[in-house]
Amino acid sequence: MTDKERLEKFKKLQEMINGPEAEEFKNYWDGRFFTGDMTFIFDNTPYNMHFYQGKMIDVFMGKPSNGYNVGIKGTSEQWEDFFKHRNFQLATSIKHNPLYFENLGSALANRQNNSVIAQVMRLAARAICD
Amino acid sequence: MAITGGYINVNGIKTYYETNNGPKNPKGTIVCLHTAGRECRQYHGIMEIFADKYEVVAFDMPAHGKSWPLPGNVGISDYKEYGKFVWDFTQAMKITDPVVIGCSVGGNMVYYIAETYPVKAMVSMQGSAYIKAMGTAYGTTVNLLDNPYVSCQHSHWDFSESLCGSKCSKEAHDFIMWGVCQECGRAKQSDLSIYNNYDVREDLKKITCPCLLIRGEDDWNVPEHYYQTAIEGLTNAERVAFEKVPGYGHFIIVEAPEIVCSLIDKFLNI
Repeated sequence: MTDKERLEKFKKLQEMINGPEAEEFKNYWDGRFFTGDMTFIFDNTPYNMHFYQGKMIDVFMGKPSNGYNVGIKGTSEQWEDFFKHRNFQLATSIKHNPLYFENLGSALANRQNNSVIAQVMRLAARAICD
Repeated sequence: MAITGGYINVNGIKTYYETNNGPKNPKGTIVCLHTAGRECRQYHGIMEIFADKYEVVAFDMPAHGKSWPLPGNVGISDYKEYGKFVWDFTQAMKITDPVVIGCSVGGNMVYYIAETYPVKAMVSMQGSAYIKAMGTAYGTTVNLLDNPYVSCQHSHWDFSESLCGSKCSKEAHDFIMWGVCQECGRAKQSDLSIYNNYDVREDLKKITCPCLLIRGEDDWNVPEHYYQTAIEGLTNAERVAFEKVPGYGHFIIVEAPEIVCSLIDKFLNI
């Protein structure tokens, strides 16, 4: 998959999060409290999603202008592994996973509430793979 | 429902406990240890199922549920102190034949307790005799549980959700997640500090009582190799049984109390 093809998948993700997945994302996974940038990096390519109260306003390739707020950085190998199990906790566990993802931003940027990131990652897996 | 609750003073700490008021059974009195950050209601299912067969006692560790914290409003963060408190609880309750069962951090702790105190039998669920060092990043995560900017409950929502098994009922799932909603950051911090620094493998050979190890196989957090390590170390145990339960996860005591009770009953009556 090329970087631009993956960007198209992120636009599909945007439609999911703002459409059929909005209710669960906002109300069960605390998305309604999230305003700001969330970035997923695949190898060296960042995909930045800008949210306002759980609605994805924009998605583009590139680093957010104010620097990384929250997000995840991994290699293609790490992402492929995640797409198989789709377990955010396992994907970021130092204890279990030698290929654990790198968290972007500070732990306090989202007050250590990773539910929002975890759900966006799971939905991204669906948008990219299913 | 036969479950009743009460308080008992353990080393100066007002400690809340519940019992099913079940009959004395020559196989022992079942004493239950809850998971990290939670409390003794996790054992209601087991207490109800065993109501006509075993006396079951579950209690809240200091700073958990309805038990008072230690001075300074903190929980126990040293595993030896934790084990001593459990034993002192059994003594205060005049339980002379404890079958100590625990899940998660409680499942870890039963190993130390069985190494150190004369328990009649032990049951470890989703537990391990050691935890691989998790480094400073995990330490930071634990430290932040008492940070004024962090909600302990919300920071553990996805984690607890990920630990439930595929066969977990909605009712059990909802209670597990309600448990997340009720957690106290400092209590959770104490338990996870123990979890992060736990290694009692060296003394596993001191365990002589019967040992039952139960694993809900959907629990990604406690892989099977932890059980195998414990089994290899339990060289002097009267007997060791390892039971795998497909479809259930880390909170197996809540997810599948019928299966857990069946396994314990079978184990105690061999």
